[in-house]
Amino acid sequence: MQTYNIFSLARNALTGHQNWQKAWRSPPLKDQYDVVVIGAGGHGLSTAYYLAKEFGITNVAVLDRGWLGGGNIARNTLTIRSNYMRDESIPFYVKSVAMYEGLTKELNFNMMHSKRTMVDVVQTYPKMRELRRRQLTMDIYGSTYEQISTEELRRRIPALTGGGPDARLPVIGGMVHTDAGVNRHDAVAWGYARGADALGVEIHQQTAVKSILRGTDGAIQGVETNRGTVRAKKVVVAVSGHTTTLTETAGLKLPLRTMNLTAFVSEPVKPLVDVIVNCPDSGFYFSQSDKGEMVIGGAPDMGQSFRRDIKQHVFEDTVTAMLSLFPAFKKLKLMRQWGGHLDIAHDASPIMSKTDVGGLFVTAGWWGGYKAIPAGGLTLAHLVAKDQPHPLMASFTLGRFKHLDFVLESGTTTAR
Amino acid sequence: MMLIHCPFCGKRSESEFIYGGPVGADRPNPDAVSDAQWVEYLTVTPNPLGPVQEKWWHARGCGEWLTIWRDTRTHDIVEAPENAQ
Amino acid sequence: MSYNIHIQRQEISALFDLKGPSEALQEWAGKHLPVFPSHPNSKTIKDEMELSFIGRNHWILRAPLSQEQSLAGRLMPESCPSDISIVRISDTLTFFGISGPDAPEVMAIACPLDLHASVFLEGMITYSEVFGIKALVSHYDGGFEFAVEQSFGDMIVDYLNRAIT
Ligand SMILES: Cc1cc2nc3c(=O)[nH]c(=O)nc-3n(C[C@H](O)[C@H](O)[C@H](O)COP(=O)(O)OP(=O)(O)OC[C@H]3O[C@@H](n4cnc5c(N)ncnc54)[C@H](O)[C@@H]3O)c2cc1C
Ligand SMILES: [Zn+2]
Repeated sequence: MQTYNIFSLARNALTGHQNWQKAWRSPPLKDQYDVVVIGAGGHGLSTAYYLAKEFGITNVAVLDRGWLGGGNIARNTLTIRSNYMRDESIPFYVKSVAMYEGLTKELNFNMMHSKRTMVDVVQTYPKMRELRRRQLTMDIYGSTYEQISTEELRRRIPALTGGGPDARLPVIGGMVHTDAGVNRHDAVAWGYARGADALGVEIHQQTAVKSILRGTDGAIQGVETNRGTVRAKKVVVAVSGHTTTLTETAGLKLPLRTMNLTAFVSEPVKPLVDVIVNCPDSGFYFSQSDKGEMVIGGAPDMGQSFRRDIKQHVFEDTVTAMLSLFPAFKKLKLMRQWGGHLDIAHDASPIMSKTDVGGLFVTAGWWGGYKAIPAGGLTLAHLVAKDQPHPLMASFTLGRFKHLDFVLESGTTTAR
Repeated sequence: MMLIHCPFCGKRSESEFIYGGPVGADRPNPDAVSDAQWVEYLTVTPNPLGPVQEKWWHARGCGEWLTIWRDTRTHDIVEAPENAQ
Repeated sequence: MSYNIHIQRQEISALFDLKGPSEALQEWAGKHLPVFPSHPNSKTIKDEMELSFIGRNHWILRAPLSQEQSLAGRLMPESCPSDISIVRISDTLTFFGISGPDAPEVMAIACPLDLHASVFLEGMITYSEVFGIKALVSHYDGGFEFAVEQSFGDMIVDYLNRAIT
């Protein structure tokens, strides 16, 4: 793998950038691998990378029906944080945030990581109590949360001019999560793809899996794709949103529903807000991108959905909520809007697990799963390689449903 | 915005309704099914790429509960599929 | 732009919430009430009393406040049979009258109903929303009237003022 550094940049500048190597190969599709990973999103690519890097399993193919990094990873709002509620969740996300912070070095790819803090704008006492309770649990696991006054909140976010004492929901204080940050989603997908490829993993784009194949003993045999049959004794489903569509082809039912989550961006403006602002009582959050756009997300549409756009009333509700706290944003022109479809289990925690089908693994239920890509990949690779759950994810297997031992996670969504 | 047909009021704006979740399987007799079947009843709902049946409550309307079939790919309210009960 | 409308916050009315099968309600109190309206979201009127059919097995009776005591005496909410319920709710709703040439424009800002006179006929009454809040909306003498939970009254005044200026 050619390394990216100041010297390679200078050398290639001199030759007009004609001689850069391809970041990953496009080898012919073989008919057999040790492991097939379905889905070249964040979770599929990081799983493949750590399978090769940490566990020496390199005869791996990652298959994607579109192009790599073109799924939800390209549609998310990049919030990386560990302010979760449950003992099971917090250590996992603390690990993932730490891995993200080291990822530029790990992958020799600039993640443009910006550890810029998330600030919650709190407008109700129940929410304040819930977040303070989270703070106490987070303290145990080394994540940061700190309460600040309304005055301090307004000092840190000068654009927050609404929510005064006469408002229906006056601002009553804030919480500060200094571990939080944003980075660049393309870099994450491309960095893992390049890293995995260099270790021998093959990435096959435009390769749609139509069904999962089981042998006469019921165990996994491989997958049927638009480019023919690919055999493997281990198959990982990492298709975010389409999990049940695929697992049903293997006769496996999973406790997941697919829902639509959306975002939109404004025109670029001068630097105005230097933290990630989250307003859980009003139901929206935003951060300002390096280009200057406000990247805004709201609450999900409640019904099941496989659409990739935004519903008008979700858009209107989000804008209304935002203007109540940031009235000056009324002047912002909104440029683009989009949605993704994500699956979610009803306890809002992820599923990383073996299944009743021998050799079939799933990583799913990733509602806010961008932040989880490094730790999700590492721990799933552990499970696939060793057949034993990694301690950080042992609570997230399908076993919890068998025993009705849910990990109800109120920290999953930013807004609300 | 969807227009949802309320049996009492007729077609009304989606904003008057509250989503009440998907229609799941009928509740089995817990004494007559295995633990696995019971857990499946509790946790698994249909998640089709296509028509799904769901409950809606005309909460900011007449108060009626109703069910519709809605296509998850388009959000169009559709006829019940042939094989639906 | 500003709109040519007249907004009037109404005096409190006598209100009774009636629930249960219409036969049972009629048997208990029919002789004191207007005929039961048969069409959903319609109303009947008798002696300044309005009876509105606003949900399945659900009616609202409205009358001038001066009749409240005598109506309560005749409807006897406390002793009605268990398959019906009659509750005095006079204090819970605040009514607004919206009239004038631009009344439909302003109502269209506030409410998602199709308010065209050919659809929302004169005399119709239904629960819907006004500025996102559950409201009992009716088409009245060329104008509109709506009622919201009384604690939202001041907020609605504020919304209306913002909508028309
Ligand atoms: C609007 C929005 C905002 C979000 N904001 C945040 C946030 O701020 N922070 C956060 O942590 N998370 C956020 N998320 C969630 C996050 O994007 C997802 O949880 C995460 O990206 C899912 O994992 P992934 O990257 O592996 O999924 P994807 O990128 O969707 O990868 C799945 C891949 O599988 C492929 N695929 C599907 N079916 C098949 C098939 N049959 N055969 C082959 N390939 C297939 C797809 O083409 C896709 O490339 C947000 C999501 C959305 C939509
Ligand atoms: Zn209705």
